Amino acid sequence: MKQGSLDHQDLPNWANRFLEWYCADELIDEIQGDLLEAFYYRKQTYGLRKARWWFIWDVLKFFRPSSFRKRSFNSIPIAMFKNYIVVSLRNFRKQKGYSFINLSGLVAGIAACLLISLHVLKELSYDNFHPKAESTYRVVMDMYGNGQLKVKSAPVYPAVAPALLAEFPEVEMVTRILPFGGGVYSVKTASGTLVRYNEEHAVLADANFFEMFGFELIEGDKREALNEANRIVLSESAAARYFGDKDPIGQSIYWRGTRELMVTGVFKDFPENSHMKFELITSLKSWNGYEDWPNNWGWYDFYTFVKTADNVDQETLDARLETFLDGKKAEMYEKYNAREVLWTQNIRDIHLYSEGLGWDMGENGGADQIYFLSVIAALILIIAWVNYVNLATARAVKRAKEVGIRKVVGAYRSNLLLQFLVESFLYNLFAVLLAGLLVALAVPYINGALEFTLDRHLLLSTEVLSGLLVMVIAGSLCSGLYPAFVLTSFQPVKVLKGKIYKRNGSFGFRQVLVIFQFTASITLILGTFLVVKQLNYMRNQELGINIDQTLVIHSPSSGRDEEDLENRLKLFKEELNATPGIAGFTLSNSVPGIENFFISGYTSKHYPNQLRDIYRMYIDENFFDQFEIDLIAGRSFDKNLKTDTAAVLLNLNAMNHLGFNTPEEAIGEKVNPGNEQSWNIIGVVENYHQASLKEDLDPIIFFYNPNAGNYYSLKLSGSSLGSIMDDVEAKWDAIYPDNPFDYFFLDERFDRQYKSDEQFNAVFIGFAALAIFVACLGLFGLVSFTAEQSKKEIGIRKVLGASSNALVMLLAKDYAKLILVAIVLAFPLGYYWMSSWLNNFAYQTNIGAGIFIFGGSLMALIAFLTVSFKSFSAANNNPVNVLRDE
Amino acid sequence: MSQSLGNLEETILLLVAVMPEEAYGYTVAEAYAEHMKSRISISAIHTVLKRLEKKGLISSKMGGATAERGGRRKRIFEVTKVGLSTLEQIQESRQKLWQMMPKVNFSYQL
Repeated sequence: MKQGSLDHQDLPNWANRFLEWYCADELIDEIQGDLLEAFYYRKQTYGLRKARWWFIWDVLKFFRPSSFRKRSFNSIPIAMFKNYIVVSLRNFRKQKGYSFINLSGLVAGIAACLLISLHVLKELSYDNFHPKAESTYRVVMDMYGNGQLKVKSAPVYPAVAPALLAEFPEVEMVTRILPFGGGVYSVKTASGTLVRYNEEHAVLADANFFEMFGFELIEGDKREALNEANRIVLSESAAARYFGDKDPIGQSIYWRGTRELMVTGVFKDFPENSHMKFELITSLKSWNGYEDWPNNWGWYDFYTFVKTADNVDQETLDARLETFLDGKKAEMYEKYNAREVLWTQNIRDIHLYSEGLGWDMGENGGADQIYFLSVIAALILIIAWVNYVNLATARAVKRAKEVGIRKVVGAYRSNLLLQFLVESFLYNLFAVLLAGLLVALAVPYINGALEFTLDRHLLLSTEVLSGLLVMVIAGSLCSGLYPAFVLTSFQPVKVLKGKIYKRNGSFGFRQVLVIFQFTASITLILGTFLVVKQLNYMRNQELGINIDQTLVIHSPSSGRDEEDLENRLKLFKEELNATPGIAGFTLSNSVPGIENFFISGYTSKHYPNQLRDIYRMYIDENFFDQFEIDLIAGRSFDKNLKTDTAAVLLNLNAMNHLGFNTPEEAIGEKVNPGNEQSWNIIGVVENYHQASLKEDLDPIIFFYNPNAGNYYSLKLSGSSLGSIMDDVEAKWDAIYPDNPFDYFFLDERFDRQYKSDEQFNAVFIGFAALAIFVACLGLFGLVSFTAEQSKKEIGIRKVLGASSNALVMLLAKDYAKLILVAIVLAFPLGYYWMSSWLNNFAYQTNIGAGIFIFGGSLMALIAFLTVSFKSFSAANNNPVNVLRDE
Repeated sequence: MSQSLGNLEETILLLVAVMPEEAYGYTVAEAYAEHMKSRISISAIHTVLKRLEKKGLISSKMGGATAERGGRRKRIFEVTKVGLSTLEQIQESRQKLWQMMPKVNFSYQL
């Protein structure tokens, strides 16, 4: 019979090779033979394509345990690997105490790292969801006077945006945001009641807002929602606030009582990780704040965003922007020896890198803080790894016999190394799993207690998971390698004969590690004390202004016209006069603790050709009296003098800033805001803190404006706060039914400026405690091990008459030395670190010796308690118990 | 017979019995497809053959190699005496049942 022969080229080769790879030798004949034969005949009957598929399918169906080679399952490496794991687990169970110390240290360290990475990941994710975020920039401005940087401003001139679009071909889109939408918004319901709220997060923006940014417009048209005057879009929650379940589209909402705006869209609430927090956005075309504003080069109130073409890099853009304003404002620059330079921030950098920029949209995070936190987390993790190294090497003696036996029966050193690495891998793996679980459970509580917004779902993000994987591997190597080398260096003969490995008392690696741990812990303790001290210092500092017992009401902005509001203000004042418990009333455009957006340049006789930047305050005649701001010279405003509308007062800083040497010299002089009008200086007052003590004292100029202000401040006297509040609110509602009664207590509001510092403080204390806990765990483990090792020695000494105290000293003195060295090392380190942190504050407490004394002795005390806890029980043991069995 | 046979096992045992000296994985699969009008995979055939051999109903020996098998040898199966008698028993008991079938003339219905 003529036989055809198989053409191997037609076969799916990989499948054939795969078959040959997995198939047992004794089965290959029948299995491969049958499949090849089937392939041969099927090719003739069904064609090559089908035969190939069939062949692959058959190969896959044969891929089952019964066809596999058997030998790999009994191979020695696998068996040994199993043995390593079994022995590790057995050791773990046998020595529960040490294992617990090791594991809990690692868990604490990794949990700290995880918490911080959750925070860091969130901070880094700010504003990266915008379309083409990589080429979206905010244009900001540095302002120089006499060649010196005076101020950095986040908002810029309204004319910048259109000019950039016209003159820079690489700029594809520009959007301006004006933060002046605040005030009362109200809606009339069908039943006639008025829904009204004072809105803080309200702005005006260019029509392309929703094309520029990645915020989601749920209802309404992206392009048209803001392209006409008197249009407004609301966030979902704002829409629910004003309209409930009703469809808001097409409805009217009134701004400041009279301005009717039509709702043309609803957007999804802005995500947490954006530096913008707007709830109401009105079309910029609705605004007419100053004449011909789109061509204005004088008012810098507009946050300006640009989107560039893809291939434009930031440096070239900045280089072109640097001289951009020179062409526009040359005359003014020359006259006042000033200069202004535009530059850009990528939108993703705004949150972390806006430090020093004035008039930003809100509180931003800082890259510094992230750096500090990361360093602390890394320290804790390293301390935990050091624990592992210390305890594992200390326990080497216990494992020496095991190592000896293994070597005798033929283990190579590499096998033993692998064994101990497997062990440390298991520890790290368990620790990571436990820490992950712990963090996932703890995050809601931490968020609640510290007002954080950590997102635990980030735990499952690729960044965190891959980070953990790296952590497990790096951790097992870092913490496993050194003990593994120590343990495997034993000589089997010596060890098995019973000669116990002992390093003689020189300054060994383990000692260095203990010193490192405690240096880090003490530095953290010192830091904690300093943070607390600085916060207290800032809180207790004289503000130069009395803000106690002061109720501040957001002034009414909804009224028929200015005259109407003025009349109602008169009425309200009269009513308050008649109210018991109200000791005073004043109004102003800003109060301490609230950022002052009003600033302008002024000339004086000492600086005739230079505009000196001074913050503007508009106040009534009661302001200085009520807030107890000291008048140094001259007089305050007088409501009976008509000329006081052209008068100003300066604070001491502003006086110096304008070049006057004494208050007396300043009085009667004039200041000029760079136009025809000039103002007479009638008095000088003491400086006071408008902002928190992180900032310097501002120069302030006071103008007289008794008829309107953003804030009404009421001085309260008497104790029945509740009834006073009810009274005031009832009177408010009678006079201002169209305005919400929206108030705060000034001291609380001022204190809120320290919220982020307080959070930082809490985090710092938490981590410092964690670091000390982990370090002490390790110390405890080491001491108990020494006590265990020398229990016979202690027994004999005791029998011979040593006192318990002497024995405790015997055990503790080695560690006492280490702690002392750590304290000595930590002091200069801590000092350096603390002084660099203090530089963030304008008003700094002194570091002082107290912190060092207290911190050092606290650490010494904790360490002593840890050491003596174990030493005492060892020293108080009945010597019979330890000496009996031998 | 104490051992019970599944449907597929019985069919394949029969196929092996009717193909003396020719029964190995591929040919059994082809014969199955031809007679039973449906396909099962060669790996399934192998499993059944192995099981039958374990039960002692068939025995195997290695046969010659051919070129279309890529030089691989065949494992050739043949029915053992036990296997044959099992088949006969099954046949017998079925026969009895068939004889008990009542003779009904369906054409007279209705």
